[in-house]
Parts: sequence; structure tokens; C-alpha cells
Amino acid sequence: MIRPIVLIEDNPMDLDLTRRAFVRRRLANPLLVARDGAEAIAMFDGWQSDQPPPAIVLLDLKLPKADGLDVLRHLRAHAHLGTVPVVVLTTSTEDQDVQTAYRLGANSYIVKPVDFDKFVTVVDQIDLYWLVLNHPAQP
Amino acid sequence: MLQRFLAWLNALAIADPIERAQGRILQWLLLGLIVARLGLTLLDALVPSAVPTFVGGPQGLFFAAILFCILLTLRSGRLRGAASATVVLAYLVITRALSSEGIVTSGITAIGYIIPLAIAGLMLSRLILVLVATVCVATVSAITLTSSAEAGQPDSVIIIVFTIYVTLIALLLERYRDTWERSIDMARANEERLRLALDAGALGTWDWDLRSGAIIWGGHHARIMGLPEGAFDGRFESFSKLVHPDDLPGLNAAVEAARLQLTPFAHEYRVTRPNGDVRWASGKGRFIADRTGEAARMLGVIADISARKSFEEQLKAAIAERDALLARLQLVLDRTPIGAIISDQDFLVTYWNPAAETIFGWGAAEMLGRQPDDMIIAPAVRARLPRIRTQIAASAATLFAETENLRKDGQVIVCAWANTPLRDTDGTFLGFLAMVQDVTERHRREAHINELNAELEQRVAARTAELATKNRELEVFAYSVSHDLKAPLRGIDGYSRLLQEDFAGRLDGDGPYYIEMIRAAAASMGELIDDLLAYSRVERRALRVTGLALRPLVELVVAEHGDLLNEAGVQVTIDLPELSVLAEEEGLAQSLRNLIENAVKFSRGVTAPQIDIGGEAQGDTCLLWVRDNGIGFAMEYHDRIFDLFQRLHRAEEYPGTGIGLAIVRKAVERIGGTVWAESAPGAGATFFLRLPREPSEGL
Repeated sequence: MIRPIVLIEDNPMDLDLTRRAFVRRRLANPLLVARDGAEAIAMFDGWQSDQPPPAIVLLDLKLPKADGLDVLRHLRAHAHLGTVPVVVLTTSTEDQDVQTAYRLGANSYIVKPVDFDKFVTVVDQIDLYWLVLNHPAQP
Repeated sequence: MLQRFLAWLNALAIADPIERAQGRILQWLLLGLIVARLGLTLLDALVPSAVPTFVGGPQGLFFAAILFCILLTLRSGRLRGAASATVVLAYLVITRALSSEGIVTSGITAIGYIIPLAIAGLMLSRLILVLVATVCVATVSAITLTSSAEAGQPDSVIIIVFTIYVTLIALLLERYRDTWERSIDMARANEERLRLALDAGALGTWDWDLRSGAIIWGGHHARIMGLPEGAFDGRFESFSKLVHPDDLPGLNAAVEAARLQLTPFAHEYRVTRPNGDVRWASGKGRFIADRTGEAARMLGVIADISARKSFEEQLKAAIAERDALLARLQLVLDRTPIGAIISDQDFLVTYWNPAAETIFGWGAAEMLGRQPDDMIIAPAVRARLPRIRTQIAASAATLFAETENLRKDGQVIVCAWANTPLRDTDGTFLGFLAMVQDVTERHRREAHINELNAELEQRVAARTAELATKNRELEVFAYSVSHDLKAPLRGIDGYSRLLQEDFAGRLDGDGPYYIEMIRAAAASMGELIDDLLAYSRVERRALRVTGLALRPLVELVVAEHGDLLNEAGVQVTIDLPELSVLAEEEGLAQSLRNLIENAVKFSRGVTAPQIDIGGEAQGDTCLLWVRDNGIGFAMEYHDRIFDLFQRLHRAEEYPGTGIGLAIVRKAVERIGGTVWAESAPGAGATFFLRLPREPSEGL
């Protein structure tokens, strides 16, 4: 079973560009998208126990309804998905956000570059590290 | 006339009472002789030849006169009488000798004349003269006897009686010779004593005979008046001229009063000496009246009292000064707004000034002699009163206190007290002086001010908090704006990149160039937003100042820029002593980064670009500099380059956002440092940072 990649992003352009960047990598993993915090939480709550857990959750912090940190907090408390790797992919460089994110159990914190080439590089790195090199915990 | 005469006689009297008694016997004897002689002479004149010729007639009168002279001599104890007698005798001897009468008569008469000679001898203390006189009498008697026999005059009996009579007088005189001499000695002793007394007191005497107007000065009178001895002519006018003109009328009046009423004279007056000195003199004396009751003579004593007067004047001046001072002090105490209360050792009020009356409402009359406990001490303080009093009595200095007190109308007031114990020279407690002020109003005002201050502080705190909130909101706003600006930017860049890649073959002409420009614009805007975020982060970051070793930090930042520096071919030298500064690590690192990047940027195109980083300790600060040999700038811009968005070059020459140096200034000023730059166009630029030095360093 191929683990999906979960992308939680409200900005349609960012979402589209991220999707395109992944497409360029020709990833086999399916891409599940949530457009706000509430939708993400609902997605995780409705996650079937026989469904494979996400390979990685790409989480934007600035989200409508529940924000990214709430989603993270919720995910870490989740019965099955508590150990899923979470990469915070955001434009915020606030120390406060960085610290809170790590304290809540984020595995990585990446600032979205403006330059699309750099963005593609970031996606490449995420793919290489989290989907190829990293060995996730079994649910 | 007779009274005057008797008074004059009395004045000559012998002082010693015993001697006077003895002398009186002799006086009566002599007086008896005079009367007898005068009686015989009268008889001779009335009944011719009733008495022998030598007894009566003019000789008898002469004889009586001579006897009177002797009497005078006796009374006065002086030689005047004897001298007079001798003169009279000499006169008679000569006249009788030249008279036409016979030698016998003259001889018999001479017997009578020789007697005064004998007396004169006695009085001159010459016994030999007495003997000579006696022998003369005997000899003349013998001659007379012979002549009488020739003349047939039966007078031998009379001659014998006469001889006995003379001898008797001689013996009597001899008997009293001692008394006279003693009285003379005594008079001399008296005079000596008087002189001693006058000398001791530097006193002078005067004797003013009103009839003649003559004044006789004795003792130190002349010296007191400043005249040489004997220079005074004895006239009252001469004396008056020496008296100070201002004092003369008073002196004359005093003399006149004493003269008219015969009261003792005592007057003090100034004397102007011929040399100009002014002295004070005190004259005391009295007038002596004659028998008619008129003042005839004035006797007195004068003393120089200048020293005493001067002392008196000084004393008077000192007293006047003291009185004036006391009056001023009294005025101060009466008019001061500070209450002054003096109490004795039993804490009974002895002084209560008008201000105390105003403060407490109690009048001095109500307070004097009382303990003011119940009247002005607030009930709450009364219990502490014994302890307070013990403290005052024991203290050496003034004690200050603020207490609650009562007014007469029952109002409670707050008073500030300064209590000073009063002590005599032995340190015995005599009471205390309390100075008091009503500070009720001041207290009320202070309370009010405190209230206002508290309120003000509260308002300031509220305003500050409000401001901080606003600031925070503004920061968040700036941050989110910058943040949200990046998302569309990413879209612009991302899609133009996709366009570039996916449709590269289908774009021609300026198409690819436009896309290039869109992407460049997006990149520069992204940079601008990043720099703005960095700038705002400097302020938003919590201030954490720590001691930092400069060199490791500089080396680290330089190492971070290794690629950039290599690429630009810039040589970097670091010449830093061991220095520690008080700074924010991140802020300082960012400042260094910006300065190095700045130096690299403006060294582009310079041959052998070079960056020198140096520093030194200066007092409690540390000077750090970054020097390049780049294009530099004109000093007129040295201030502006640290302002936000300030650029000295066109973007295509030297790209940048104009935020880097603003971040440097903000980061340095935040930790209490300063930053400035020195440069000249084409001569490179030097940026200086003055930073607080870590205090422990160098200790």
C-alpha cells in the first residue's frame, strides 16, 4: 500500500504550485489535500484504521478556521496518526511559530521560498528525505 | 564781727581734747593777766600816780598787746604770735631807747618786754632763751633797784614781786612746752596722712575763699586739670576755662545750689586739659558759712574718674546693645510664624509666643505656668508623653518629631516639632525650647499630591500598556502584510517560471525577456519583504544582552561569507584584541553580516578589494570598525545612509533594498551603542560601531 502525502494549504496558487512541483518529481504517492484547518482535522478524524497512514503531512500554519498549530496539536493526539512525520511548510519566519511548532512535535520547519526554482528544490529535498531515506514508525 | 573773730579763733583750736583742756588753763591765766594789765592802765589814766609809772600809761597797753599775741600763739600752736610779739618788742625797745626818758624807766619797762622774748624762746623750743630772759630780768631788776634808790622811789617790793611773776610764767610755759610741740607734730602728722590719702586716691583738694575769691589747690588738683604744679593763678575764671563748655552751666548750677542751701556739693564734670585731652572729674565738697549764715569758704576734694566713666560708658553701651538685641529677638519671636514655647524643668510653660497662640488657639495668659498636656497634646500621643519628655531631658541635641495635636477649639492638627533641651553650664536640665509649625495643610497637600502621582502613574502605566498593545498590533500588521505579500509573489514567480519552462518554444521576440523581468521584479520584491521582516524582527525580538567575545563572532561571520568574499576576490584582515562587549548575539552578527555584505557590494570593480576589521577598547566602550577600499560616499550623506530605504546609488549599479544599514543602526542602538561612518568618494568607507564593554573584562 502506498502511503499518501497530505497537503494542508489554503492558498490555491501555493497549492497548485506545490502539486506541480510534486508532479515534476513523478511521485507515485497519492496527494490528499485539505483547504483549511477544520477540513484537515476532519480528514484525520475520519481516517480509517485499515487505510495506510500518510507518508508525510505538509502543513501550512496560516489557515482559515483552525490554524496549522491546532491541526498539529490534534494530529499528535490522534490514536493512529500520532507518529506521522509533519513538515511545516510556511511563509512565517516568526521565532514564536518555529518554537511552538517544534514543541508540538513538528519534525521539520521549512520556509516557502518565493523563487519557484528554490521551491522545487525544497520539494525535491522533502521527497528525498521523508519519502525515501526516512523510515517511518508503523501505526 | 566778734562772731567772725571767735569762729576764726575756733578754727585755730588745738585738735587734741586733752591738750586743749590744758591749754585752756594757760589761756585763762594769760587772759587774766591781760585784763589785770588793762585795768591797771585804766587806773593810771584816771587817778594819776595811783600806780607806779611803769605799770600804767602807754606801756601798759603795749604790754597787754604782747600778752594777747602770746595767747594767740598758744591757741594756734603756730609761731605767728611769737613772731608778732618779737616785732612789737623790737619796736618798743627802739622807741623807748630813743625817748627822752631816763635809763632807769626804760630799764624797768624793759623787764616787761623781755618776758615775751622768753616766751618766744619757749615756743621756738629754745630753753636757753628762757634762761637768758630770766637773767636779764634779774640784772635789770638789780639796776632798777639801784636807780630807784637814787631816785628815791620805794619800789623794791614791786620789783621782787615782778621777778616772781616772770619766773612763774616762765615755769608755766615750760610746763606746756611739750604739749605745744606735740600738737605741732600732730598737725604735721595729720597733714602727712592727708597727703598720703590724697596721693593714694590721686585726689586733689581745693580751698576757695569766697571773700577774696582765691582758690588754693592741693594734692593732685593741678595734675587732674592738666596744669603744671603752681601754674594755677587761683581764680575761679581760670578754673572755669578748663571745664568742658557743655558741663560748665551744670557745674555752676550745682555750686550755686550748694552755696545757697549749704548742702554738700557733689558734681561730675568734664575737664578739657590745655593739651586737648578730655577727662572726667568728680568734685565733692561743702561750703562753710560764716556767723551770718552766708557761705564764706568752700573746701572740697576732686578725683579723676575718667577710667570709671569710660568703664561706665562701655557698660552702658554694652547694656544698650544687649537691650537692642533682646528687643530684636523679642520682635523675631513675636512676629515669626513658628510657634516658640519654653518650658521649665517641670515642663511648665514659661514662654508662649503669638505664633503659638495662633497655632493652638490658647493665649499666653492661659498657658503660662501650666503643663499643656490636656490642652494641646492629642489623646493618642498623651500616653507616650512621659517617654518623650525623658528623651528630651536626656538628649544633647534638638529632637524633631511630627505629632497630632489639639487646638483649643478641639480641632486636630498635625504639628512639626523641634525640641531643644536647655541646660546650664553644668549640664543640668533647665527645661526646653519647643519650636512648632502647623503642617496640617502641608500634610493634606502632600497626600493630595501623592494621590495625584499615583493616579498619574496608573494612567501612564495604562497608556504605556495601550501603546505597547498598539505597537504589537502594528508589528503584527506589518508582519502579516509582509508575510501575505509573499504568497502572491510566489504565484507570480512560480507561474512565470512554469511559463518559461513549459512554453519556451512558443514565445518569441521580447516574450522571454518580459518573463525574465517579471521574475526579477518578483525576486527583488521578495528580497525587500525579507529585509523588512528582518528589520521588524530586530525590534520584535526580546532583548537579551550578554557578554560576547568579539573576535570569535567576527571570525564566524567572515567564515559564513567565505563564498561571497572569494567570488568577489576580497581580502579580509581581522585585527582585534581580546575584547568582550555587551550585546545581543544575533543583532550583532546581523550587523556584521550587513556591514561585510555592504563592503563587498561597494568594492565591486575596485582593483584588489580589501576589508579590514579592527577594534580597540576605549574606556568602558569598545570601538569596532569595518573598513573597505570601495567607492566610498560623500560625507554629506553620512547620516542618511542609516535611514530606512535610503540609497545613494541606482538599483542597476548597486542593487539593494536600503534596509541593511538601517538594521545595523537599529540593532546597535538597541543595546546602547552608536554607529557612524566616515568616507570620501573613491576613498573607501569606514563604519564604526561603539559598543558597551563587558564590565568584568580587564578586572
